[in-house]
This record gives sequence, structure tokens and C-alpha cells, in this order.
Amino acid sequence: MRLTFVSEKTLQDLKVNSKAYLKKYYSGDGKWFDTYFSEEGKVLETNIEFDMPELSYDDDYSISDQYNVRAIYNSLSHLPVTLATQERMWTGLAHNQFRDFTFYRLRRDIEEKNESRMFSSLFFKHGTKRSLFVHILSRLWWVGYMTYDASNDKNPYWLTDFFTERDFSARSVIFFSSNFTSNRTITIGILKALYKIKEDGVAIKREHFLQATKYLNILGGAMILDLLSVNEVEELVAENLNDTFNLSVQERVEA
Amino acid sequence: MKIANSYPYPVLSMFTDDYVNSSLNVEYATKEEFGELKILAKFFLENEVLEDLIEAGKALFAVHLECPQTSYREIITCSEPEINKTVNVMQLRGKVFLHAFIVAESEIEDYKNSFLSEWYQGMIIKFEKGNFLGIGDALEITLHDDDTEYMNLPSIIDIHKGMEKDYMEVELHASNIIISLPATEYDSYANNANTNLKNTIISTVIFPSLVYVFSKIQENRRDLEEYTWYQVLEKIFEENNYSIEDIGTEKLSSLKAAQLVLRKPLSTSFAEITKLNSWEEQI
Repeated sequence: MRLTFVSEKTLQDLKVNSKAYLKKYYSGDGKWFDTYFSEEGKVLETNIEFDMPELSYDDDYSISDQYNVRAIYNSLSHLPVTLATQERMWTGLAHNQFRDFTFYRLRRDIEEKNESRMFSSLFFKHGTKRSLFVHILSRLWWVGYMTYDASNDKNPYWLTDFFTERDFSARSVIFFSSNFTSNRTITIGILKALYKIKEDGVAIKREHFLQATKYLNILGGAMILDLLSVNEVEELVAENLNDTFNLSVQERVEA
Repeated sequence: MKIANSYPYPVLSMFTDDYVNSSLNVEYATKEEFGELKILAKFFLENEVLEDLIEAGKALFAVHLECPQTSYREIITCSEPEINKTVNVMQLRGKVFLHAFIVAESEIEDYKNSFLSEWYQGMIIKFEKGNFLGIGDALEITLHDDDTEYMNLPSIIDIHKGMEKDYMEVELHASNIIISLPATEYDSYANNANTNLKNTIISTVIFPSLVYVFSKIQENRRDLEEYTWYQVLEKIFEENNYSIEDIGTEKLSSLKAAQLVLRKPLSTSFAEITKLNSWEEQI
């Protein structure tokens, strides 16, 4: 099938009148959405073909998020990055081709009538970069894109699976809000360091991610991190985490 | 990328005085053609020791390229004082930042340079791989989406009917500035927008909205500058010898900025009203 997105005008209408349309979201009124988007010019078709992925609708979001990152990135890995930054595409997909997923993923927000969470999951509300890691659909693609390790032939998703195994929503926003995690060499280096620590029996928590990015932030003030290889980043981060959390003694005993 | 003001080692740059009788300047040339952004950076370095380090392969000329929106970050290094780079524009969107450096390629121990300022004389200096030996000029490029009409001001402002709204509202977090009017007011606007009261309507609807927009620019610049409307306005101010960064400061108030962009809307509005009144008096 061909990838579609909504026109800029339609996107704006959905945003401006989100309160007026709120009850359609709350009631999951598929017919209303079908009629709304069937009007000429509201949905635009691109020339990009893709296979609709089979997504997980598990009751446990931590299971489905992990599965769906792979599924979305697998089916849309050929998406041009420029297009993948566009709100009208992700909002369009969330309302049309991936509407079932949207209602599944927003079920709790809808039940709790948490409109601000619901709309920041559907529209870009925080500036493009942050929004890409908040929007329920785009974050799946972007986490796949940023953590895919092409150097691992057997399982290029090994770091993706590690990254998505817990705390997916918060972890995505925190980790990718750093400027230097835009460099995939650095991202892979950090994740490899964290993975290795996990292999040693340490339960990786939010604080480990925070410390890794905090440390590189300080280091980046005096040097160009982009010049480092994956292995060099991995080594630096591992050393700092071991020192900071005294891992070789304390947490390994706990584990 | 953020450039710090001070470093724990000497850096040759325009904003540091760590060296004497030395300089580093970088000239850029960029062009966008057939879906590619071509970048040329020419380095002009005056400092023999740094030149020798580069020749010995211990230091490199470098250009750092960053596009925050697409999470694109890359460093291009070269031992020649000229760096050429071509990037597919499908990797880039909005603002692209270029920074030029001389960086340590490997550890440099016991660094000596007779052009170091007095303060560093006799000090033991060591550089790690990736440290900055020199910081050159920076450049900011703005790439526009292909399918957007940029220079026509009305195209960056969209007016909508805001159902269930009692007051006019302005949304900044979108490609275009979105003004939503209460339903009745919207209908009046739609019926009269292109009549002989066009400028008066601009003063009533767009003028206050722009004042509001400009009042928000200072505090939210990082988020806002990626939007098309911001980039178009930035260009308009630049072409008229103003800077969008000055809006909201003593140099340029939000109120004046809005009047500049709309080319004195009060004047054109009162001209319309005067004309309409004199016409009614004649009847």
C-alpha cells in the first residue's frame, strides 16, 4: 500500500479544533473519522509503498512497544528521514492507516479522559525533535532508526530490543533529548556500554541512562565526541558508569 | 553544537587570546542543487606549530555538520585546508549548523608553541584525541521544504473557524501561524476579507496576533525557529536590515515588529475607514 499523510490545512484543523472533536476520540467514532478524511484534499497519497505491519496489541504496553518498534521500522525503514520528521505524516498515519493502533495505544488516556496526554501523543506539541520521541507512532520509527545496528548481521535489532525492554516512553524522551545522541555512532557506543553492564547482572535503570548522557555532555564541552569511534564511546561510558555506581562491588552483589 | 567560552587548554580562535600573532579564519561556500547540499570550507591558518601538527597527522581540519530536526550529526576531517562535503537534502530539514575546527587526532603530549600567550609559558600542556586546538567560523543555513510557498506573507498565516470558541486564539507550534476565530466572527471575516475593508481586517485580526507571536519569540526561540513561519519572518527581517533576534528587546519591540511586517497597518486601515466614511457622507 501507499503511504499517506494529511494536508497542512487538515492538520491545523485537527489541532485548532481538537477540543471540538474530543468526543469523537473518546467514543472511538470510526465512521466520523472515515467521513472527515474522505473529503477531497484532506489525505494526500505519496509514492512510497510499504507493507502494513502486523502490530502487537498486547495488554502490557511494555511488550507491545518493544515488538512494535521492530515492526514499524521493518516496514518503513526506507522512509526518507526528511519525511520522517513531518508531523502531517505521523498525525495522518495515526488517524488513518494506523487508527486501530492509535485507539489501542491511547486506550488508557481515553478512559481517563486525559486530553493533554492524548493530544501530545497524536500531534507535535513540544518542538519537532522532542515530539518525534513522544508521538505514539513516530517514536516507534525513530527509536528503531536510532538504535538499529547495521554492523550486526545476525540481529541488527539487538540494541533496539535492549533499549525497549523497559521504561520505553520516558527512556526515549530522556535519552534522545541530548544533542549528541543524534550521532548514531555515539548512541550505539552508549547502548553497548549499558548492555555490557546489564550482561554483568546489573538491572539498567533510568539513572544509568541519565548518568551516561550527563557524563558525555560534560566531556563534549572540551572535545568533539563525534570524532570518537563506537568502541571509544563504549569504553568511556562503561568506565564512568562503573566508577559512578561502583558497579563491580555493590550492584553485582545485589544481582 | 554548543561552543564553550573557555577550555582547560589553549585554543586558537577569534574569541580567545591564548595565542599571539596567529589566526584561524574559515570561509564557506554552500549551494543547493538537484537535491544535494554542497559545502566548501576553506581554512586560513597562521600558526606554524599547528600547521606542522596537521602535516604530521596529529591534528586535522574539521567541519561539524548538524541538523537538529533530522538528528543529523557528522564531522568531516581533512589534513588539507579545504573541506568539500555533499549531503543529500533528504537527510536535512530546516536549520543546518556548520562549525569549523582544528582538532587533535591523537594524544599530543608536552605541547609547545612559541606563539602561546605569556600566561601559558612554562605550563605543561597535553591534548587528548578530539580536543579543540582551534575554533573557526560558524555558518547557519536554512533549508526550505519544497512544497511551501515562502515569501508570500499570508501563506504563513492560516485563519480557521474555531468551533466552540468565544475568543480569538493563536497557535504557534505549527508550520504556519494558526489564528482561530469564534464561529460568528469567522463568518464575518470570510465575507469581508477581500472587500474594501481588507486592511482594516488585517489590523483587527492579524496585527494583534503578530504582536502576540512576537511577544513569545524571545522565550521560546529554540522551539519556534524550526517552523516555516519563523524562518520566513527571519528572512523578511534580514532582507530589511533588521534581525528577528532583536524582537522583544530594546532594539525592536513586538509592537513595532508587527507594524513593520504588515507595512504600517494602522495607516492603511484608517485610510480605508476615512474613505468609507466620506463615501457614506456623500450619500
